[in-house]
Amino acid sequence: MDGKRERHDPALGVTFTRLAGEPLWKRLLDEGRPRRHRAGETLLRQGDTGTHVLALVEGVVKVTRVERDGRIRVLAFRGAGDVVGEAAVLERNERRLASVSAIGDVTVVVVEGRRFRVFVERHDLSPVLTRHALTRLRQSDRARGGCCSRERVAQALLALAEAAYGERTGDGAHLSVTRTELGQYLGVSRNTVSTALSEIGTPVVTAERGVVVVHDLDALRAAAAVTDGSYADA
Amino acid sequence: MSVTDAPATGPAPWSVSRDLPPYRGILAVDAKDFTGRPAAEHASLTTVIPQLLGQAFTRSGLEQLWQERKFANNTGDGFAMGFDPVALPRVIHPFLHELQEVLTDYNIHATATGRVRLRASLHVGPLPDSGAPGDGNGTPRNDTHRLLDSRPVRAILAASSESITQVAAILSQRVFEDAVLSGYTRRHPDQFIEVPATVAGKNFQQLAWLYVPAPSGNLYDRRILGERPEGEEPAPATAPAPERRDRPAPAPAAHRGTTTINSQGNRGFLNNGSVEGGQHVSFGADPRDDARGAGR
Repeated sequence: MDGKRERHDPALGVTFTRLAGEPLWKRLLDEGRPRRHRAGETLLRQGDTGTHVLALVEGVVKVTRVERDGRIRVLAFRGAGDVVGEAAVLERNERRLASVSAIGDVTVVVVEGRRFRVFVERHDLSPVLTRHALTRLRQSDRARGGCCSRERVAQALLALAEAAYGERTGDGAHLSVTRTELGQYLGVSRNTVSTALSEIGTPVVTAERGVVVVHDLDALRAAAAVTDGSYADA
Repeated sequence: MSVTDAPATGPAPWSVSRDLPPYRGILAVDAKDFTGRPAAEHASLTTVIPQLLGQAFTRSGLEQLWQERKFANNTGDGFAMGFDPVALPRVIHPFLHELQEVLTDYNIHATATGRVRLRASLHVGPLPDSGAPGDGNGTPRNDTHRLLDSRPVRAILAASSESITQVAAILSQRVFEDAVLSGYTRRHPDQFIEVPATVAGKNFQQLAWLYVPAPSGNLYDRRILGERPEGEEPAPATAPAPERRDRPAPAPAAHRGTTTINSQGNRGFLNNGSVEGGQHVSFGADPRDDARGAGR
């Protein structure tokens, strides 16, 4: 744990960088080319044939899947230092299982699937990435449980704002995430998210169409901090 | 059916009457195409299957079953365990459904390793689990593994979409009767497909029931099992019907028509290796998948 920005990471999870190490992350970034996306843009689309992975240099994305019965599931939010997109997909012409879209402005490095797999093989990262996948699975299960929806909503928003804007985090941060999506990720209803937001207060956060705006970061931090202890146990 | 396994310990079979071992539910799973993976990946994946199973049990509210699993056996690409059979209806549902979802999630989270898709088999029968050597050995255990290796469950997983179907399960007739027909599970009998379970190279044939928690593509088309909808001409263009000889449509099914298969056509389906490839191609172009993906 590097201490500085790991505090609220229950919403974002352990990053690839933390598992593989900073030097390998830097080398991975050399394997591809950078690309920028605006908030709300779709980076990877469910159903497409996958040919590449994305290394997230800056910003936050959400990983969502539409089930056959129409349910939308938010599987994860991922921040800088992480990798998204299934690379093993390429060879058998499989299709992407989930979509990835930006919830703030993001910078990614596009790594071609074959290069990523060679990279993984050369650095013997397969055990690391397998562990990583299992960790992510447990984290997303944990995110859906527990008490204190107001605090959990505040914590999730805080984590997303900090990860999306990094050092530039300040009042007025826009997050392209809906109340429905937040609710799906946290395992509560959209109404519960709305209630939580109004309890936190309109001077602090407001939800607009497809966007949550953080007006007062310090107040949000206070709202998130109340039950930090119990959340950590949840 | 002949008795293939004598009691594991104690006096010789049929020499003395003794207690029957306790009834146990038996779950076995096996990963599709696991052995084809690179060695490095293989090593790291051996711990994955039990963890995914544990996660699915937890999501189903059946942690206890997982914690108290009997005669568990991890083969790397597969896993088998016994459990208290009172939980059978819940292992059929929601457990198999949660397993399907856990695998979907894992496959999305797994950036660099191949996807994990599982066959599962469920059986019930008397098995010793007293803690002595030989625990869990017996005919019911063997039959669970044969069901798992049987042609129909392999075929149905191979023929289904990799984007949707991550689990295909096969239930023994006994499990089906005790837990499904009885009404104790929250899945209707019509959601199961009756099949003759055979194993290549083994003298094994049992009636069994396929269950796919998330069916996809051609699995919605019952013709892949050799059935012909009433009033429809044979040889449809969409489903490459294997070795179908023209013959009159099968007589109306004797019981619960929608799930009874035509065993003649079925034999062709089960034995024809080329079926899988042909069907896979048409899955790749499933327009429903495209439509779904495009809207997001």
